[in-house]
Formats: sequence, structure tokens, C-alpha cells
Amino acid sequence: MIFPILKRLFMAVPVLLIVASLTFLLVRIVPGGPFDSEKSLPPEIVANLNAKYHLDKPVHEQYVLYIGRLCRGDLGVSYKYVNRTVNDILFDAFPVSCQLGFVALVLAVAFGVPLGAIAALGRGGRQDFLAMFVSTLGVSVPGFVIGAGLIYIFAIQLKLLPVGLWESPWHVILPAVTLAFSPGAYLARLTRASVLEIVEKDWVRTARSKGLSYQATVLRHILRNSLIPVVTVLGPLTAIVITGSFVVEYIYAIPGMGRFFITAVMNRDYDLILGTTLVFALLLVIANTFVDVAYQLLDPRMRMNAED
Amino acid sequence: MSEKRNSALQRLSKIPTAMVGLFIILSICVVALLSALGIELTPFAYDQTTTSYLAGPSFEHPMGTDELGRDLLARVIYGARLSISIGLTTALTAFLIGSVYGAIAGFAGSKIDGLMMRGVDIAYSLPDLLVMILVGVLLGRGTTGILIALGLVSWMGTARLVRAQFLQLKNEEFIEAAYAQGQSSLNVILKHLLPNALGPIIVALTFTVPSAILSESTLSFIGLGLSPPACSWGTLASDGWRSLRAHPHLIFFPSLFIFLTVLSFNFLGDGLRDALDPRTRLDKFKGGSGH
Repeated sequence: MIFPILKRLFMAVPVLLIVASLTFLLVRIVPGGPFDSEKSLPPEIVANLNAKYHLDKPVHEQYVLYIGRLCRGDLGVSYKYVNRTVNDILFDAFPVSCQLGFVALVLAVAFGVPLGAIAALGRGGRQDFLAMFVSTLGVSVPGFVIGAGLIYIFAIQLKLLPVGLWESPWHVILPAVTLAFSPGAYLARLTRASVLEIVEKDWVRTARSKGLSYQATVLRHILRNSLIPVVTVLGPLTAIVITGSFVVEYIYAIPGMGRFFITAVMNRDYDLILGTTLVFALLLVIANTFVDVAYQLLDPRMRMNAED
Repeated sequence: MSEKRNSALQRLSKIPTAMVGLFIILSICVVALLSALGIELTPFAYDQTTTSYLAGPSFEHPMGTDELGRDLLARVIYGARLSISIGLTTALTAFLIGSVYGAIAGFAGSKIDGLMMRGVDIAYSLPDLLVMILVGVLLGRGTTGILIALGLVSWMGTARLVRAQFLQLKNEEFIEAAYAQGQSSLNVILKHLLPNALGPIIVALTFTVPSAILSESTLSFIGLGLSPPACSWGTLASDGWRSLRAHPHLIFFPSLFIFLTVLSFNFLGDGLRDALDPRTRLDKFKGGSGH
């Protein structure tokens, strides 16, 4: 079991290297550096700054320097947040984004999966229509609209919850709810499709005909098996949460990775852009590896099915 | 063939959510088109300043005015032009690139297919917004840059779909018959394979439009997309965000239209999918990974 996981993780190294190289190229071939906008600095200072950060060297030399540092785990320095290395910033920002993402995912599973199951079990009826209506609403409202709406209702009008920054558990509620909408809706649709498929299986009929109650069949046989596809979409789910975090962290001024990524892009803060992108890529690779392993653990038949 | 299409349209017309969606989409498109043709739909121009600054909704200004006294209704109508055309252009790009790429992969099969799809798999797993932001660094934040970035991330779904359809269809008897008649490969692709794969492609494109509108407005909202003087629903919402506390109408109305449009396209897409193939309701996620 350990070996395939290691192999998968090892295979991720070239993928990350490609991501690093592409992002590096993308960012460096753009005209304009971090020191030539806003206040016009004297040319000598700009030259000094560029020399200090090796920005005066040809791109291929910069690339070699960058990859060399990367191999030692050094992601470089931020040009805007003075005296802070990218490692420092990410070390602070990563746990914040993880907490936010985790709470949002828990909320999404807690609401999305039952919603999908309810829809499928009442297939074609009113509860199916309502549940799917709600899930379509969930994917159709942009994150910033949900965020603005929640802030307006709960923070400005009712003054119930604080907004902005990341200080108490109360600060987590609104951002996490905002972030949970679109993965929740995605999960609801997925669960519905998967339950619909399983309800038709022979062994569900067997369970019912051997005298098992409706509730027990649903809980023990249908829901449990319909969770397999839900576990296996962790890859897309991670992508959805990362995308959502850009908006949510921007709106709620949360010092997480999404916010640093956006400000880094605005400031052309090269190393910070590269560092955050690499962490996002790493997260996706880990999520997808986990999915591959979970597939085989949850359902040994998958291995055979994948081959034919 | 046309009989099949007629019965699908008949089924579609019986799905109320899809019909309401279609009605809203057509209304918004007509308004955007009239505005693009230079027909005045409101007493104010989108960039005309008045002396009532930041006024709430009133009889004179149904959606209120912004900090320069510009009529929000006129701006929302003007923004519809950009938002809708960004959505439709992206769908067109996705169709052109996706169907050519998917057709080559699906038609060639074996090794070429494997290689081409490997690339799509990797690119597909990256979050669209992340790729768009990074590409935006290179292309700048104008309309053209946004369109290229959107086109770049949105063709992969169509490519997968076309490929899957081609792989499935190319062993059918009617394709064999076409070859037996001495038709060329290109002819078979254009006249037999593509038309038969059109249903699912149209469904996928119907979902491409709202996701493009969402992406553009999100990018503009966080300040990495379009910026004034460009005027889309996203830039309007972004403007409104800054005065959420005192003047919530400024973000409410543009957001409402983004939401209505995206919701309508999603309902229409769901309806089209069910109408074209009632079975897909059951097994649309079965072949999710595309292998």
C-alpha cells in the first residue's frame, strides 16, 4: 500500500517542476518589474535593487538560480513585504487558508450530501425539484455576491458577526459559509446522481426483500456506497475551494494564501506569485494522489474496472 | 434526425425552469442587442452624469445612481453588452478549439489520443481562475486579454466530450457505411461524426456561457479583470462593493443580473441535457474521468 503512494508522490515532482518553470517564464517575460511602478525611484536605487535580487541577470541565469534555490526549499523573498521571505509569509498564511478551507468543506459535505440524497430518494417529485433548485441556485450565485449579501445582512444590518481579518472563531463563520456554497452544490448533484444509480442495483432490492427497513437500507446500503464517488472528487473539490478562497479571502480581508496570491499578482511580487502557485499545485497533487489511493481502498473492483 | 430533434425540443418546452431560463436569456440578449444598435432604452446615457449622486432607487432612476450621478439602469444595460458577449464569445472559442482538438484525438485514437488527452487531464485539474490570473499577468487586463484567458481555460471540457463521442460513434455501422461509399475521412468527420455529436456539445456550451460570465465578473471584482472605463456587470459590482455599507443598491442590481443570467443558462443547460437524452440524468457522472 505504501509503495504506490510513494510512487505517485514521486511522479508529482516533474509536474511541480513544470508548473514552476511555466509560471517563472510567464511572470518574467512580462514587461515591467516590481520596482518600476508607483513612486519613481532614482535609477541608481532601482539598479541596486535589481542587482540585489538578481533581476539584472539574463532570464536563463535567473531561472537556474531560482530552481537551485527551490531545490533547497527556499522560495525567495517578497519584494513588497520588506524583510519577509516567501517561506515566512506562506508559513503564516497556509494554516489560515487550511482552516477556512477545511471548515467550508465540512459544511459543504454536511449540507450537500443530504441534499443530494433527499433529491434522489424522492426522484421526479417535489423534493427532488426543490433540492435541485437549491443546488442550481448554489452554483449560480457568484461567491462575491454571497459574501456581500452575508456581510450586509449579518454584519451591517443585524450586527451579529464580525467581518474582516482572522481573529476569533466568530470570524470563521461568514467566510466559511460563503466558501461552502459552490462545493456544497457540486456535492449535492454528485450525490444525487450516485444515489440514483445505486437505488437500481440488485443488492438494494435484495436488502429490501430480506426484510430490512427502508431507513436501514438507505443508511447502510445506499448512502454508504454512494459516498464512494463523493470521496473520489476531492481533486475537483480542492480546486473549487482554492478558486473560492481567492474571492472569499479578498472580501473578508483574511490573511490567507488566496489574498497573498492576488496582491502578489497586483504588485508583480515574482517570488510570492511563484511560491503561492507552487503550494496550490502541491495541494492539488496531494488531493489527487489521495483520491487514487482512496479509490482502491474503498472499492477493490475499481482496479479491475480501470484496466478494461 | 430532424424528427429526433423535434421531439427533443418538444420535451424541452415541457420543462418549466428551462423555458423561464430561455425567456430571461432572450430578453437580456434583446436588450443588449438594442443597446448595441444605439437605440436609447433609458432617458439617460450610461456615462451621462446628473446631479443626484448616490441616490437610491426612485421613479426617475429605477436602480439609483452612482457616485458620479450616473443612472445605474443605463449602466447595467450597457454592461449587459460586454458580459453577454464575453459569455458567447467564450462559448464559440470553446466550440472551435475544443471540437477540433477533440475530433483529432477521438478520430486518431490510440497513442495520439492518449498523449493529447494526458495534456488535457493535467490542464483540466488546475483551477480555472488560477490559470486565468496567471495568464492575465502576461496578457494585461483588457477585454482581449480576458477573452484569450477565458478561451484558454474553457475548451477542455468540450474537447473531452467531442473525443468521447467520436470514440463511441466511429465504430457504428453508419460510419462504416459512409466509408464503404468511398467518402473521405474529412467528409465523415464533418458530415457524420460531428452532427451526431452535436447534442452533448450544445449542452456543454450552454454551461460554458454562464461559467465565463461568472469568471469574468469574479476576476473584475477582485481587481484582476476589467477595470473602468470598461463597463461589465463585474466592474459595476466591484464599484458597488466599495460602498456596500452606505449604498447597497450599487452592488445589488449588477449582482442580480449576473445571478439571473447565470441561473437561466444553468436551467436551460439542465433542461437541454434532459431533453436530448433522458438517460444522462442517471449516468452523467459515470464516465467522469474520461478514460
